[in-house]
Amino acid sequence: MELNQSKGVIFLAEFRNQGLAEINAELASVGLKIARQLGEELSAVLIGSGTTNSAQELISLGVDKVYLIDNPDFTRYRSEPYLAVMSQICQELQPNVLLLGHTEVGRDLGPRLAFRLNIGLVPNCIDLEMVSESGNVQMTRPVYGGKTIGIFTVENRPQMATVGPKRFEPAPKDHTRQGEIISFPYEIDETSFKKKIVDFSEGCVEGVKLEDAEIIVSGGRGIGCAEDFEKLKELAQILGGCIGGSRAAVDNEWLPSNLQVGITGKVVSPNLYIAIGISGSIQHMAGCSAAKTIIAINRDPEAQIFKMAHFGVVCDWRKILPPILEICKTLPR
Amino acid sequence: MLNIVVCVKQVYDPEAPASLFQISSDGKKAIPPQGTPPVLSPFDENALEAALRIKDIQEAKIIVLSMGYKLAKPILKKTLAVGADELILLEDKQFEELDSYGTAHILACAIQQIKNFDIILCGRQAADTDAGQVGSGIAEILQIPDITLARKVEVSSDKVQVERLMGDGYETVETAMPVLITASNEIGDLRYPSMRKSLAAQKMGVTSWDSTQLGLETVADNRVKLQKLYLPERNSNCQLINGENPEEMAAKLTDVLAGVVK
Ligand SMILES: Cc1cc2nc3c(=O)[nH]c(=O)nc-3n(C[C@H](O)[C@H](O)[C@H](O)COP(=O)(O)OP(=O)(O)OC[C@H]3O[C@@H](n4cnc5c(N)ncnc54)[C@H](O)[C@@H]3O)c2cc1C
Ligand SMILES: Nc1ncnc2c1ncn2[C@@H]1O[C@H](COP(=O)(O)O)[C@@H](O)[C@H]1O
Repeated sequence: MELNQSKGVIFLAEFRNQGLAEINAELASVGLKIARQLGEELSAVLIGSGTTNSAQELISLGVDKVYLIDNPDFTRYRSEPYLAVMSQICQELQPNVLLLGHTEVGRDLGPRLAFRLNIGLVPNCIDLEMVSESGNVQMTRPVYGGKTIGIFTVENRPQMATVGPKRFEPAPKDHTRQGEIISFPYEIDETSFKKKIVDFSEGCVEGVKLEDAEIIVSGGRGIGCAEDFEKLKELAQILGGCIGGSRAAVDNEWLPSNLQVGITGKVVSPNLYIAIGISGSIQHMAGCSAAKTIIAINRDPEAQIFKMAHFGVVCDWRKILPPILEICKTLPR
Repeated sequence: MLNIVVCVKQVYDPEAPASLFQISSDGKKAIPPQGTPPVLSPFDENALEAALRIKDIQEAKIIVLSMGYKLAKPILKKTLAVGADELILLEDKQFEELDSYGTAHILACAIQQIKNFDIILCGRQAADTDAGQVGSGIAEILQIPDITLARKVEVSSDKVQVERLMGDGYETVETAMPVLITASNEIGDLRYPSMRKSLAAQKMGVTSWDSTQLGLETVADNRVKLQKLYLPERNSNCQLINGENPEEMAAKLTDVLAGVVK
């Protein structure tokens, strides 16, 4: 694509369970920042069924134009039709910057789309900033599991990135904002698709979703067994929070894999994250470092987690958890 | 017989302590702590295990591909020790600092030379790049379907069924072969080789292809340019809560809790 022809910032909005997923406000906020720095428009692509209200909501988040593909066949994310739509849109609109969330949709779709468009993609960005001299966007992301941070640029257009969840302040809503909703004609040719979803099971998570929880009690290998995880659940319950854990806890099958926190699990940003029997590996902390307060309980004073937590207790969790539970039960709620 | 290609990358042990990492003076290279051994990238071990489980129940040939420069053969021969049939190294000075775009093109080129392939397995992401791109890239170049984040793979006649992870559950996706699948750790840990097989593997020969043998006149330019690497700031103002006994520490800790939760 010609550099000078490419204009505008576009992001793929995520529509889930009849509404906008949280990542959209974050995509709108960083998208708007870059669009303003470039002096260009911010657009969103919205794919789904029954999306009109959500399109309006995107406008209130700062989007100038919403390209709407409203089709009853688009109730769930499927890579092949999304790939077809997105590559067609990029061909027609020739955006300067293309953003996706680093979510289950963006992780699956982004790389294949980048290769189809023959461009580079910088995944899981934690910062994006336009450089005024070059007009290139500087894309910052963790590498080596977060041991180092890299700043990258891409030469081709669109400049494509996936945006790490919970890294950008969500855009505020302004319902007086005006924008344009453009329906994008797209016919699905099912016969061209090679993959078929034959079954799906939405894991049953009761109560609040881990990503949305304000308080998380998280356990690691140091918990020792599935039964003992129950005690952590008790604390989570008393505090009105959710349970989560490290990959070690998941690999041992003490927890389902959708409760894993970390670079290959969920990214969370609760008010309070209590890490118990977790060593604080960089891959784990990548998922929880945005927590306002991190409290670590670990019996090893040398554990890495004490380099990153705000409060720490060096103690065997088996000894300290029972009195904590006792006291918490007496606290007014 | 099924032909399975597994792409395995050699990386520095990702469990090496983060605080000892350094950056080269030009800001372009991460230097792991001295003595950090090279290992197989963990999710690539899961990919290999997925291939071996298929071979456990049906006739299959497993070819392992690894691209890089000055690769550690004894480490990569672990793939032969656990049951892979052939190891092909793609080694060339030009392959040293490729991004996902370049890497996928080299691997796809090698796979095209292998010709017979039904299933290509990759890790969901390499432990150094954390990019998760090369797998889908290979699939796009070869114009075959890709299924990411597999936790289970089943093969029946000319089809595969893959359970793939989603945020809150999983879905089962079916497609005809050839297909590219990226493996997540939920697929299971790589089996241990026996001592006898480990010794035998060290004696097995490996094939090496450089860019000329791959028939490449030029190596694809990187699409992504690294400007600079730096070390993250660490907030190490951890306030330790002390006490004579667990009860006292618990009391102090719940005071902190009450302050945060209110
Ligand atoms: C590419 C890649 C991706 C990864 N992604 C993730 C990810 O998304 N999430 C993730 O969590 N990990 C991830 N990992 C794994 C990660 O590197 C660590 O191996 C893992 O986080 C360790 O889990 P842990 O802290 O529970 O276990 P350990 O590191 O074994 O730590 C256990 C801790 O418990 C303490 N302990 C033991 N007994 C007690 C006791 N009785 N009381 C108090 N403390 C006790 C010990 O002192 C120790 O510090 C990834 C790794 C790689 C290579
Ligand atoms: N140099 C390499 N040699 C062999 N396989 C690789 C190489 N680089 C990446 N891969 C494969 O592609 C996967 C994803 O890599 P990445 O896109 O860098 O996260 C890895 O898990 C490997 O299976």
